[in-house]
Amino acid sequence: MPTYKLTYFNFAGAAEKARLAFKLGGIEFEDERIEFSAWPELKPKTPYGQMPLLSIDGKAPVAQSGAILRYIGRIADLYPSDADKALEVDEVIGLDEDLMRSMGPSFTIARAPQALGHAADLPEEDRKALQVKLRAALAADEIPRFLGYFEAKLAKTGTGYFVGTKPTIADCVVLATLRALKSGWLDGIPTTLADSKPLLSAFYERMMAIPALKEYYAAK
Amino acid sequence: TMQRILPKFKLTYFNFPGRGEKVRIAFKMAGIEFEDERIEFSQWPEMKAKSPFAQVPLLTIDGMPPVAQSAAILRYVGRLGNLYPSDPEKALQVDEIVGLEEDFFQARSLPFFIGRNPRAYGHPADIPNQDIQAIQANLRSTLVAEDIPRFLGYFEAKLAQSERPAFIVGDTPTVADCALLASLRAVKTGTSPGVPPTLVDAHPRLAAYYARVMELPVIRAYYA
Repeated sequence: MPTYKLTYFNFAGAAEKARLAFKLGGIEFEDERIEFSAWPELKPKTPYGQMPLLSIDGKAPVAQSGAILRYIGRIADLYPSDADKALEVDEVIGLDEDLMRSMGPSFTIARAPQALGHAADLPEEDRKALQVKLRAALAADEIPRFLGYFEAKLAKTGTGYFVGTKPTIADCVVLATLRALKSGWLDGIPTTLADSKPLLSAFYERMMAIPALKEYYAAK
Repeated sequence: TMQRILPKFKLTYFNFPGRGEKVRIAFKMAGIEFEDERIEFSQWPEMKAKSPFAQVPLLTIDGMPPVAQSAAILRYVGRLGNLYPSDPEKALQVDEIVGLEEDFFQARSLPFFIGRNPRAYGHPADIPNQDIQAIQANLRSTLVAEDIPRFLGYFEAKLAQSERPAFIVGDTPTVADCALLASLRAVKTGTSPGVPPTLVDAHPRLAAYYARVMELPVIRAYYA
């Protein structure tokens, strides 16, 4: 069995779905977490200035959370090789990416408003006010819309999982997102947004009850 | 050899490259026939209301309810068309490039997205057109000076890993080439206002790669 090292910051973020896939697949890996203070020195040494990174058998690290997730899916039997089933999985993963991406501007507005076409020296209170506005719109529109898509997909599949009769990397992706929403990580986004979706709520409980995942979160 | 009987495919997207182009290229590279349905912006509001996730591109397989997500459709065509390795480590290399290209697409499309939906980026919904254009011009000059060269440099470095690179990953075309070609073409053909087509030329391996891929018979015929 090769050795795996997954490198990311010390929070859930873009790496969590990969961590979940490793755990669900019962595959050992080194869960390397980098402090923010260590990142500026590490960043130029990475291939594309980004994390997460996956290193297989100590080889040159590979980037891109979606690539890493699919790799783990292939070795852990969590990513169907059948083209039609994989298409279903990839559609769910892509929708989740769209949802997470829609939240991006609400972070960037505070950190680097000029990247979105605002003044670089926009006062802190103005940044905060804009962030609040963006988060309110996300909570009212985008997030419920995408949660509705996920709810509808669960209804369509009818097995309690997103694709087929057992967990896939699509389930890892949505679980990670649900946990992020419930954690209060997004200031201004109520943690209860998924509660009104019965199938998603049952999905959450089902996934969290899987021994490997229950153990992973209990250890935190 | 056994001829695989394929379903009828329809790809629905706007009448410009955008996110749909890498899929069109993949169908061509794979030699798989498809209906290339292109819709006008004026048709979009009505279609959007009927679409599963309020987005295009959409792939309709044998008239079934359509599937969304350009990268999902790309991988699907790749699997059918022998453009997507099943070996996990080879696929990892391909997926890394597909992901990077998505990041590149996002970065260079941001000014366009801000213009389409200013409110989502913290601007007033009724922001005057000239203000949006000033913002876009400003962002584009940063793109030209920093982000685009940075991404092109990543792809150049990937090609440099091989002494005689045939394709972006390995010796045969993959969906990574489809994605990369779409992005390079967008820069080369000036689809982004204010982004000079010459930016690719500063990267010799990438410029040569582009020329090589554009000369592939199916690609040359597609863009003729």
